[in-house]
Amino acid sequence: MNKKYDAIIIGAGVIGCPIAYELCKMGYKTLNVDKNPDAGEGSTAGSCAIVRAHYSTADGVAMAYEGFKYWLDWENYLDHVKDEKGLAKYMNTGSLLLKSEGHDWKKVKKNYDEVGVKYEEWDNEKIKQMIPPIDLHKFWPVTRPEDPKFYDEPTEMLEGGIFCPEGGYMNDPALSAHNIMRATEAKGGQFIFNAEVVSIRSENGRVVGITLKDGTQIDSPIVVNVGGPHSFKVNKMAEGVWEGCNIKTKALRHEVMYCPSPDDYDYLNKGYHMSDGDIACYSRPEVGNTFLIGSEDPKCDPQEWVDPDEFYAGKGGPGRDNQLTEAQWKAQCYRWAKRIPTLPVPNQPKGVVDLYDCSDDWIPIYDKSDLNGFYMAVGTSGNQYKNAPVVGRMMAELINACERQGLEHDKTPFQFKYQYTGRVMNVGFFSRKRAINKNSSFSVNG
Amino acid sequence: MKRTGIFIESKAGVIKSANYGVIACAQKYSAKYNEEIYAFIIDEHSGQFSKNIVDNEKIKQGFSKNIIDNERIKQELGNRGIKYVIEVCIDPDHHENHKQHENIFNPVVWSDALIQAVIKYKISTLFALSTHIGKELLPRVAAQLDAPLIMDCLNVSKGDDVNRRDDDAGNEFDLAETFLYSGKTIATVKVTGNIRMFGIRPNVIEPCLQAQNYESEDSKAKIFPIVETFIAKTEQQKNIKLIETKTEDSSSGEHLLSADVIISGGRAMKNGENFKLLQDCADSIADLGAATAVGASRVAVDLGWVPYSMQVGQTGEKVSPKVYIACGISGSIQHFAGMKTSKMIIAINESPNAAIMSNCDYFVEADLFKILPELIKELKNTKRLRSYQ
Amino acid sequence: MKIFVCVKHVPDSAATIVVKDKNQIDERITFLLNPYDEYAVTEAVKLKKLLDNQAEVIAVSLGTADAEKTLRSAMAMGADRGILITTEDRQDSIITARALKAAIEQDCNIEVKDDLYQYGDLSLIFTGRESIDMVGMQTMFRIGAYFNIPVINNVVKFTPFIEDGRLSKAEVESLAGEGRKNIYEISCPCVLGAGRGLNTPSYPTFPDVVKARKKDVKIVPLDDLIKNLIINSIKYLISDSKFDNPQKEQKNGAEIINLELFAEQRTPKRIDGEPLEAAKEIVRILKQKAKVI
Repeated sequence: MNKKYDAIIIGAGVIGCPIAYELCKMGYKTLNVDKNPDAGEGSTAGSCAIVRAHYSTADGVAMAYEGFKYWLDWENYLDHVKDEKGLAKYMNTGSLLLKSEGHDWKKVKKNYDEVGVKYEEWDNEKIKQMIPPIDLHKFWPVTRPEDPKFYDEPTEMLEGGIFCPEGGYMNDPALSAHNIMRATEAKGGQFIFNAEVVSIRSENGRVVGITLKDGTQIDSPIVVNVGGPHSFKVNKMAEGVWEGCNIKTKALRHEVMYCPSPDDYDYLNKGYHMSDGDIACYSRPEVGNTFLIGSEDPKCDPQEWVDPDEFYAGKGGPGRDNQLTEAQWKAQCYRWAKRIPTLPVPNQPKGVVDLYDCSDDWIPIYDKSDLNGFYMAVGTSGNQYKNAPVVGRMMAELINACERQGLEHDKTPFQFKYQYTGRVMNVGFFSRKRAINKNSSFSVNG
Repeated sequence: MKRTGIFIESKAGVIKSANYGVIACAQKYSAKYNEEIYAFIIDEHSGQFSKNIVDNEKIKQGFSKNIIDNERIKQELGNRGIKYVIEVCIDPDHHENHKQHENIFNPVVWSDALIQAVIKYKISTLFALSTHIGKELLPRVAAQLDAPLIMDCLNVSKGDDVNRRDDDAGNEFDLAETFLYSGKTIATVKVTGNIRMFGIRPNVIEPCLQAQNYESEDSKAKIFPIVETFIAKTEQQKNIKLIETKTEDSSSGEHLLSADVIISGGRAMKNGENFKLLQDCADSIADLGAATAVGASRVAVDLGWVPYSMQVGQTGEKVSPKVYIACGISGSIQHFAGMKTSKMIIAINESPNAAIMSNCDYFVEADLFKILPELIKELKNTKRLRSYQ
Repeated sequence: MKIFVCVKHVPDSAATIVVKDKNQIDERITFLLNPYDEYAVTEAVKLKKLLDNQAEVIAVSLGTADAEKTLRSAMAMGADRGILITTEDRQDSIITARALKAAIEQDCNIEVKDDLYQYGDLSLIFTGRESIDMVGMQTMFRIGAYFNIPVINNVVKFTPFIEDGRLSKAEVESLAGEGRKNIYEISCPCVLGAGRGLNTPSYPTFPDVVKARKKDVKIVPLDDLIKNLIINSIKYLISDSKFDNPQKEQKNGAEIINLELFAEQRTPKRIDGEPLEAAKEIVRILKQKAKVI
């Protein structure tokens, strides 16, 4: 007899875990299966775990702001579960968005007003006072170090920024997923690791279970794809699901760099999370007084869409595997080094290479599918870490509404009420059937 | 007849055990054409004065501990079939301030002595250890002879030279195996030249065994080697002077390169103080007869917990002990570059995902602060049991 | 006064190495300034400051055209200009040292008069203590031998003696292993191999990178440089036939003829149980499997 669960969640990352957690709280008997040896060891571990509110859509801002409240209330959220590895910690640094041509900051400001996000406007003088080593010249447009224009002397200045006192990062993203796993287990959820799904079984247009690589069959009337960068492969395993999506997902290679802070600047304790569209970079402090420097995917940078299995096995070949590249190291670090002119850039690249599970419009798909009982929380595009607990609640409610209350979500989209801010979210916004959202930034900014 | 030379490192008259691997390599190498092996003894504790030239007065002055014990070395090497033993000494008359410097090993002076010995005895292939002494001496000798040198060899053999004649230097070459590219590849290097030099990584080649038949008086005479003392005329070193040798407090009696068991700590040691736990463990193992040393990962050194001399890895020591016990070390590529040739790796780590856990022989998934105290107790018990027997 | 720093363009130690064509590697990986050379460059720049900037720091490298990046890194760290000796092939230590010697000699107008070197502008040559790709640990000694100047490798402390604005000699601490340090007095010019701990490498800022772009790199093909090179400093020189007569097969050299990826074949076995049981099992393994106690 195959083991049977009320719901199987494929993936035990920072989104797979909270979906299981919320389903367990509703009385579902859940199982998370993951290829990795532990919770959060996939692309979650490579996440910068930034918690910030600026998104290009009001819905995006609202969801991030809602998520922020969960992180603040972490122990309560976990129902005070004990994790032998300790708890992940939210580090509130405040978040500075520099006003630049790279961001539609006016729209962000409007969204902040609409949702009620607290913010201050800082002029250059104030920024300089708060971040002494910063150079506020305008370097736009974004170029690469191979391009001689990269070294042009800037003449104009930026025009200040928008500062949110509420913003920061989680200090250990993998641990945060592990915490939610322990909370889920406390509510009866189960997890199996080193378990790769090779097929999704269905009968008469309804999912019936999964088969693992070792041949084990596990049955469930509900299967949720939270496979991260592997999501498109999982969708292709399920009958008609891939074909039924108007918005598809793919795995995008992404590099994040670590650069030591200048000696005379305590970035770790005094610095902010910063988003800088003028040079298409973002940064946050990291232990060891280090700048963690990510890229906002400017048009001049190459995009590598890769096979996630080859990538993680280190077999994708140069520039397509999980090794930092010298060219991108210089591009990202030198861009940031323009902003912080005293930033020392080591010769040896140091950082993290991981994958985004990227959708066609960089907005995630949180939806049912064309196969009954098969759901997906995919296409998180490098910008959904902060939303994970909200997504967990939203997906669980969506699944429950469809499965137990007969909701026809494709016809009358589920309306999800935020617990903290009280706003109502039309989950149809995240539909797989949507047209490409033209309002998106088409970048990690979402 | 070609001659193969070996530099033998000894310390106060005792041959360092790693030399027997070099002898094994040289024997296998020279056996192909029955070449003779010449062993050159250099003694780290001075050795400036041979027994032959030391008078009683000097012994009274405290030089006795530095004398090479000819008989013992003769036996050790004779037992392994080496016939020619050359004790290399430095002419005391030409050595400046020798009294003050009796314990200083001056690589500049010594390399000069070795060059003279190599030339005098017409050596065409030279083997030595890639130890710290080897790293100081071999490149100096190679540079002065303009001879090719491969350091840190895992093996050396003769190339296939089908047309070889005894005195034909024209087509001769050797093949050396060594790690390249941060330990990620093994290279075969073709080495050509009239004199070819090889530094052998300590402990990677199985040591040669003693011959059993020397016991009888009859065969003893045949096997016992011919010992000569070669006194090198060293020049006054005008442009380079060794002023002083400082020894840092190095708590592990034996050292990394010669240890049978190395116990190393990484980030999970949390501070320098906790390395005492590793030292206790190493001491307990040493009490049971194994040469031990305490090592560290780069993180532990960078955080200032332990001195750099304890670092194992790409930018530290490259070691090949019989057992390497890694405590709270994740096992980066750079760390593996320094210990991957260990015969056995035992990892103690709390994280099942640490790279080292999937690339070792045994692993304990647990808190090292719980395991090590038990291990120390258990080792001490083992000792007691043995002493009662 | 001229201070030279010999630098090498090497694969990043973290890069995935792929072997191709039997003895080559796929070079589409990150190459960078050899990490030990960072200490060498930093120390050279420090010395220049001690000499009231009355000296020039020149980075020299032998490598492919791509090695210019490594020279730019050295210049971003403060070297004033660069010399790139270009070659398509991997060269052994003997050729490398000869090429570096020739390039430095040309740059300094070094002459030999009555068998004695006139070192001209040459004050000091720094190298890293070893390259992380080939780990030959010998090039600095060969350069010293070719110039007939003293060499100390694995230098962790360098104290120059400056008399009348000129570098006359230096006190140098060298790591001799097993926790020992040798302290030497060495006359200049000399060759010093920089070890870890000599200093904290000063990594370039963006303005440094911009400056380095404008610095001069002289490009010299290897063949031009060593064709007529005369080595007369080596007193024990036995054969120099490699350069006299390239047709003759016997030459002093080392050539990599095969490369294989080193695959570790360990199959980890779990030691289970409470700490006491695990400790007992480790002791049993040390005794019965490893046979060390």
